[in-house]
Amino acid sequence: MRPHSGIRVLSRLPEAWRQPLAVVGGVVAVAWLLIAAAAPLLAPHDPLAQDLPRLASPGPGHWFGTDQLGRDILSRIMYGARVSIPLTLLLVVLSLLIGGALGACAGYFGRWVGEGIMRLADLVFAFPTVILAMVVAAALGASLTNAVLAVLIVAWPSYARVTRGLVLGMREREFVLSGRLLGFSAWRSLRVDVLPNVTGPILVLATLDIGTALLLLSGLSFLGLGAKPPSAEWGAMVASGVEVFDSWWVATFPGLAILTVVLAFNFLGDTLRDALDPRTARAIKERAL
Amino acid sequence: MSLLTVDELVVDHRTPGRPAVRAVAGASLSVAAGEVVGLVGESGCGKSTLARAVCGLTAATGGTISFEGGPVTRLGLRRRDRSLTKIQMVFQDPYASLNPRRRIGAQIADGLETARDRDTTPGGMLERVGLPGGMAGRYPHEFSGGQRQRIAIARALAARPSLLIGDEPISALDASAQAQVATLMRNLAVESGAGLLFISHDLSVVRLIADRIAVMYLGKIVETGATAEVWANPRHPYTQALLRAIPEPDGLGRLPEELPGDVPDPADPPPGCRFHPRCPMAMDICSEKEPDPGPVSCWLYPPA
Repeated sequence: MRPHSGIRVLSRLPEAWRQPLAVVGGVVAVAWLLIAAAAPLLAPHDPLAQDLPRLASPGPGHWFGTDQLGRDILSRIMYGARVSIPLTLLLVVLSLLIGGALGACAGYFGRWVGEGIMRLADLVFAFPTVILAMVVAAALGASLTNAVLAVLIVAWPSYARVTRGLVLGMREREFVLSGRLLGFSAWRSLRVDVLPNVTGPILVLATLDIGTALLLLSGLSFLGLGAKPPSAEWGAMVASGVEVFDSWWVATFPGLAILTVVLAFNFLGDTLRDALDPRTARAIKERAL
Repeated sequence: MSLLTVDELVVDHRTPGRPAVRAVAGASLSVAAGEVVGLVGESGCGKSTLARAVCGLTAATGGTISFEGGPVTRLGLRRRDRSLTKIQMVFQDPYASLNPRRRIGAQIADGLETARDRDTTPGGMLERVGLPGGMAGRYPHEFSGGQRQRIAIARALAARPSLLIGDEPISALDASAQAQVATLMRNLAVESGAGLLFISHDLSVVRLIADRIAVMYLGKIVETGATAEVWANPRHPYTQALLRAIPEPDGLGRLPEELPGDVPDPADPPPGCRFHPRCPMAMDICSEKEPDPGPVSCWLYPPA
């Protein structure tokens, strides 16, 4: 890979972003962000009001049906986007910052600090993600904040590991050494020469991770370790739908909401990865011609 | 007094679980101010390791390196000592030697900052290496290999080094750019009064620019001398073999002679003289005792 690949991304983006999956991912993600932002304007009903017929099947007036308390599911999904999506984004940004900072320090400074950080990461990796997140969430007490904290604890190590690997490879590059020879401090070398050249792959990881984080967060709510009733949270809505299995719409629509967001961000992550990798970018271009 | 003195330098590369590889095994070398020294040898003979050790990028296992009277210390996590920023290096790979994310002007400005030079502009440095000063706002990917190497030279020179090291700075360039870049390095270094240690495996280019030549084989310097003298009268059998391997474009149809055999594994060097298994003039003593270091390190020329 030529070192200038990152710079050429902007001119490559169009080809990569014209792929069908990229367009679908982009449109769906933007649509969900708009729904989250404009939920009070778009939602036909109050998401908490229990004034509709109970367990009404989808139809005019309540397109996604109503739940066992007579609340409009469409409105609850729209309001649910305001809970799940911002929290997921916050979660991914935080784990990227924490994991990235720890990984960069481990990679650049090495020695026992780095070893310590990476053994801690291995410790987290050794547990199945969902189980560990459940244990943490249960230990902290069931609330949405604690669920975010639990997911954060299981999510940072992958960023730390990827960042460390990239920094280790970048540290011995000749331009980084040249900077050190000119008298750059380790901190300046990291900030000016190393980090700007490793951000691309880490951003791809973060984008791909949005789906996983949302799934985990809703999963914790589904298990009763996250959002508390009556707040409209997709995972909790699926959980309550499972109790009334005959009324399929109660669980299905919030489940579809989770599915579409996860898929959309996975498509976006794939696209970003293709766009950043000069080889795939070229392959896409050749196929397009 | 010489600017740089390398005395009996030993550098081991250690990999856990494997025997240490002695890349430099007692090499001595000196560079005076304003002097151009060409260090030549086959790939893997330890030239680059020696250069990295002189910059402090690799730790020396034994021996001493002194620069302007002070020792060269290993560059760790701490900022490089200001007196040592007077040693600057131009690396081999022009595609890895510039930060792809920063404008070249900013990277040259780093060098000027090192020298606390507020009068020179990055554009001015670019003009000194033969590029238009207006290109300072461009990114590295907009330049060819030869141009990038000029930019790397401009950055190194901006720090006002008194010793410039070129670690095979031309081996990745087109034939047409090689002589240009090498001559440019020589002229700029000599103009500024700095010493130049130019590492290459291309003897014809070294002959063009070096005042003095040092020939390295398997971690040791086997012969040193004034370039013209070594060229006219190579004494060490290895130097003779290297010179015979240069193609002569004189139309006589002579083919360059190949030196048979390969460089031995530096982790397991032959006993006695390191060159004896490949040497056409090897004697009994060569496989038993190592010759003394000197201008020529060979038993054919015993010390008087």
